[in-house]
Amino acid sequence: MDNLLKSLKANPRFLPMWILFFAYLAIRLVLASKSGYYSDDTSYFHQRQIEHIAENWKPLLSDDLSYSGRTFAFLPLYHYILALPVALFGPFAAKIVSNILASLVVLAAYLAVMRLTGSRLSSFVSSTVIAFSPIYLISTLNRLTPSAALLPAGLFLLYLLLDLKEGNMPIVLFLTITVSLLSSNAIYLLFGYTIYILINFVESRPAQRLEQEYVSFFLLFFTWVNFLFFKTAFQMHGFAVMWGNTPPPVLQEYFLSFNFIYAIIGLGVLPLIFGLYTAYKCLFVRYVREIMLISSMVISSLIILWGKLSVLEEALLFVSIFLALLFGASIKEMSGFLKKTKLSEKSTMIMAGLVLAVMLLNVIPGIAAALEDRVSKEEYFMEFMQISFLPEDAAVMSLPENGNLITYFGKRQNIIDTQYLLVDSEQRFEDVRRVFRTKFVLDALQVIKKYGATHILVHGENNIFREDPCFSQVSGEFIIVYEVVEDCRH
Amino acid sequence: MLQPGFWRIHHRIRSGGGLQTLKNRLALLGLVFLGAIIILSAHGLRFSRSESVPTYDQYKFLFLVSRLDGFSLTHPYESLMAMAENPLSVSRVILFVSGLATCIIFAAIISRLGSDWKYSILVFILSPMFIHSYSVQNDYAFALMFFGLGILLLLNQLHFPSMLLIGISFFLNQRFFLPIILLLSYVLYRTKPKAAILSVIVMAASTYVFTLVSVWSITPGPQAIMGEFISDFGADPGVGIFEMLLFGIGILYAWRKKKEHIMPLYLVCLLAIASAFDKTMLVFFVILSSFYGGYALSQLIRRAWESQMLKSYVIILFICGLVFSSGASLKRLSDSPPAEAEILSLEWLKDQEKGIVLSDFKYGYMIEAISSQKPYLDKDYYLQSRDKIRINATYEIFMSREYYDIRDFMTKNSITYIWVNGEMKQGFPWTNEDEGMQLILRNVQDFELIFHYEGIEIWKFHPELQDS
Repeated sequence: MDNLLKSLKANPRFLPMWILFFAYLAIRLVLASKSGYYSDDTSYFHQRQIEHIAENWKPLLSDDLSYSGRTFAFLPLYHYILALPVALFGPFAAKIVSNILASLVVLAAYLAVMRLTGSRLSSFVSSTVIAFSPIYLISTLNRLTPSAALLPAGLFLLYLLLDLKEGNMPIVLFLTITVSLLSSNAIYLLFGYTIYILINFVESRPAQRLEQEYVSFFLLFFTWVNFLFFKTAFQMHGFAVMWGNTPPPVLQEYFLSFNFIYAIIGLGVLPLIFGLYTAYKCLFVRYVREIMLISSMVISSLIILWGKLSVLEEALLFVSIFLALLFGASIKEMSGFLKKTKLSEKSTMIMAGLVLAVMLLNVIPGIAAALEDRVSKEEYFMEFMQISFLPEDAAVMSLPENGNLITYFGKRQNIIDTQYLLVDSEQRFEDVRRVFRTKFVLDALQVIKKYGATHILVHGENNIFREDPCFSQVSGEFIIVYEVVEDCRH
Repeated sequence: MLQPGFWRIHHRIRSGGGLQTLKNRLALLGLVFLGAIIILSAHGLRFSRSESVPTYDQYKFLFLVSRLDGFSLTHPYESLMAMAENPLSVSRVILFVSGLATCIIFAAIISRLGSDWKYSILVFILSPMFIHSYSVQNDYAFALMFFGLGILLLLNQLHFPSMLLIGISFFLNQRFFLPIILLLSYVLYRTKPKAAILSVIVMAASTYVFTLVSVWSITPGPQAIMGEFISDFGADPGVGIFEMLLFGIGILYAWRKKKEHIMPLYLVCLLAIASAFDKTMLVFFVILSSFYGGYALSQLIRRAWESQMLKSYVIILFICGLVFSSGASLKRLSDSPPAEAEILSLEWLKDQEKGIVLSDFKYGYMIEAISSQKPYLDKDYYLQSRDKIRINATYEIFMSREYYDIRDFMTKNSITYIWVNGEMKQGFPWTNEDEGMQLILRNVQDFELIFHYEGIEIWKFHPELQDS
């Protein structure tokens, strides 16, 4: 604990870290505050939960609006953290505080790489790469996601694990409990640490006893927490819980839309190449305990990605962050190597060029991607306000990605949204998709009747409901709402 | 003759490691008291919610005790209970006493084997299987007490009474054949490790288990295993997930002395496989896993940890996990079906003319026990039939909308009633009210809705009326 506190105190050695942190925080807050809306519908699920906690001090577990009545299963710590500022300063505080939390990644990454390399340059470059990586900015700038708190907390934990000591144990346990309660994605850290212990065992370098004891606690606590919160979900869905019970067609789309080029840009070209090289070197050429720990985290993330055990974006996010940490180690090594060669006189220039290239290849695309992600959806989301003028008992059928918008902006029941746990998501998804794909109104009416929908929400005027007597248009510009005529509902 | 030092018991007794000291006896009393509270809580929680007997399977006991006339060799426990004026209450008391007696016997056995019995008994008492075995009617819990007592006497070198008690346990439940064979092979292993007969017995036990595997046509996948065997994922009866974690750690610790533990571990594996096909074996598996779980817990507590803080948290987590599994099991038992409306519907059906009732197989025992009508399917058929022709045909008919197919099926199998509850209408086999056969039931005159209350429907088939 002392080490962490000492590191965070004003110290000339850490001046670049603080400058980078405040600059990054300022950029994030400016970009985030330019829009009153979020970039995806899932953020509105989190926002609803946060606002509910701010009002009632307990999460909304039994909801009458989502799926026309269902139960939620999720880890609520992130929502509790944001609930207090929301209660004090209003709904927009959630976005600000989430961005402040996400900015802490700079401090955590800087400290971790500093411990790994002892080099300020490596720490600075590495934390810049992580902070401005397009995938991290898109995921956390204009969206509410537990990853915004999980990643900084996870990196602080990793920093402490790089030199695990009995004296650090209270803060290590605090962070372990925090990451376990923030998101099930803490499994990346747990799995990585377990791989690290196993690799050490295979390499006949038994892990320290304290490390073994710690991993047993982490494993047990993580299992217990997830078991406590997702037991019913596991009973209902089995191993599909790992994918949040996402319907197979949606999952297929996730992985079909995987674009190798997009993934490399997301990860960053240089961190990917140098990070993988550092991991390879540690595994097969020269063992360094700290680098092995980070390499194990990369291996765990790659296994999860390869096994499609997580949503693609989340897996890439973790891979990119761990690779960027290894990239820091490779900068240090490269700098040392250059000094031993005939290029030693030009090593400063070469390193400066490298840093510039990293900035160009990461920071600019990162900010550009985040801006693009923010702008495109604002007008579309505003249209959902009109749903609040529908009758209070209205149940609106639309595609899943509109579901959370219907409940948040319209405060009306939806038939489906993107929270798939504890519901029969596969059947419902197929049925709702049929409504929007069929050419026969009778077919659509059968599904509408099955789920008791009173309204249909579609994009654009080119649809089968426009001229059918069973549907009357209620409102719409970007999105059109049709009321299902009373006689056709039964 | 058992070899000297075989059980290492005399040393333990003299050194006070067994149940001889007042402190240990008080600890045992405390654990037995905890066991009593858990069993009584299971009954109390259920009664506070519903007067009906929990779980559909328990109705097999009620059906048997109400039908058995005289002593039946195939159902000896039920025959004995049938002699009582109030079989259910008597059986409840017997199971309660058996549960507490089994704890004491188990403690005595473990203490004589030289292990720390307190933690093993704690793991056993907090196991969901303990709650299920001693609060839900079954035919193995009573026999288990005799089996345990037999082992205890065997440890005391009282061979004849021991064989007699083990024989009684076999008489009370013939499925104890496998545990008896395993016990025999273990005794032989400890007395004459190189005896050729040992390999024969182990092979026989293995053959028995794998025959079960091949004869019983259930092939559990990973998820099915979770759902069928882990109580926290809905298995009833099942084992707790933290109990299994402790068991795993116990095995890891035991592996350091693998020569001593190889045979018991092999027996545990056989019992684990056997319990996939016969839930009676699960109780033996739980006893052995509790032994190893308790061993793990004692090792975790005694071992010098580098971080005392981690040690405390890990042990607290394990205890919380065990208590949590136990609590969840109590809750599930108190919430378990049947609902009052289901009982009411079958009591009403009892007064109707006799006929065969078509429903899901899992309601078979309950239908027969309460309504005295014969079910077309029951769980015995599900477990014992290899081809499951009736079950497949029934589900084809449930999902069919072909009027003539349904009519032929009903006539051919002499079915008079169809009993449908909410779970059938909104889950399996149907998901909505017009699905499959339900559409036909509501729209033809051959089927008459003779009972409808709180989602329970009883349809009567009139073969003489044919819809045009």
